[in-house]
Amino acid sequence: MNEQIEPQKTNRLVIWLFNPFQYLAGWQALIVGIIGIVAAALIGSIGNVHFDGVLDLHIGAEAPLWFFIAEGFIDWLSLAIVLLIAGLILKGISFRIIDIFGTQALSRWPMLFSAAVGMLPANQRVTEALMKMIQNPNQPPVLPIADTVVFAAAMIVILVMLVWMVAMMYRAYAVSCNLKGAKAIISFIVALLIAEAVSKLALWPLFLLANK
Amino acid sequence: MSNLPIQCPACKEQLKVKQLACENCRTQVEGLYELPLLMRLDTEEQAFLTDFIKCSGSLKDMAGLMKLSYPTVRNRLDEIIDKIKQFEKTVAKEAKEKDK
Repeated sequence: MNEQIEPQKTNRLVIWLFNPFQYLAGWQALIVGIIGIVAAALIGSIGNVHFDGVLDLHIGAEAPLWFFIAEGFIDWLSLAIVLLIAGLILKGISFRIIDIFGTQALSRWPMLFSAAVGMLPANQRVTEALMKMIQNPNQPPVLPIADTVVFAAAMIVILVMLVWMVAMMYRAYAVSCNLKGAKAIISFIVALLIAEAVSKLALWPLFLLANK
Repeated sequence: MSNLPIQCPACKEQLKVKQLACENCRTQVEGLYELPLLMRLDTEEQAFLTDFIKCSGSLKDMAGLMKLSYPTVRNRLDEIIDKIKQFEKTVAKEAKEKDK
């Protein structure tokens, strides 16, 4: 085999971090991705970290494990389905559907780290204090400095993870559908906005079901 | 043996074959010959196509051989297909101009 086609080893780490789809797609990516979604839901259920939208993460109310898993699956499927439609419009049936679903599932791996950071007890305490402040605006919240620092650091990490996830989602879409340039970027942004709305709508019955 | 140059290093135009030689009897043939379509691809792309043929045209086998994902290999093949189509267009255009 021609070695020139293989990417240089020095670039491999960067590729694995931002474009693992160069090596992993289809069923393999789907299995690894679903493991990540379920693991993020498991960790999220411990610290009440909810993924209530394609790009959302909130520390919220207690809920059963199935609720966290369902949130993860709804987020993944909302974007994968919208991107599949976008791909079909732009490229016809020239790509494999399994690549879209597999690579999009794999793209959600950064959320696993976000869930781990989000479950820190300091975040719970700050969130509770902020909620109390919203309910009683006249009563100033009691926030230990250490908790505030941890909360601020966690928010930065979560933001970085979010950017990483969106970058991976875009690469996954571009590789799976073989799209490049402005066409790929514009269609991805539009699809992401639509998917965010779709996920919110799809999660609504879930909230109703959980509140019964 | 060094790689066959396909582009002019000065102006980047497509190079043509002017001379061919037999290593055995030293016979030399001179003229102006077009490079075949596949020879116009760079060495990396030619190697890709050779591997692809050896894999009986299976993208799945090719992905396994190259240790890359299926869509990555398919995208690379699509790029080569686009390039060959472009070459064909250029050749057809040149032939038309010659006929005029």
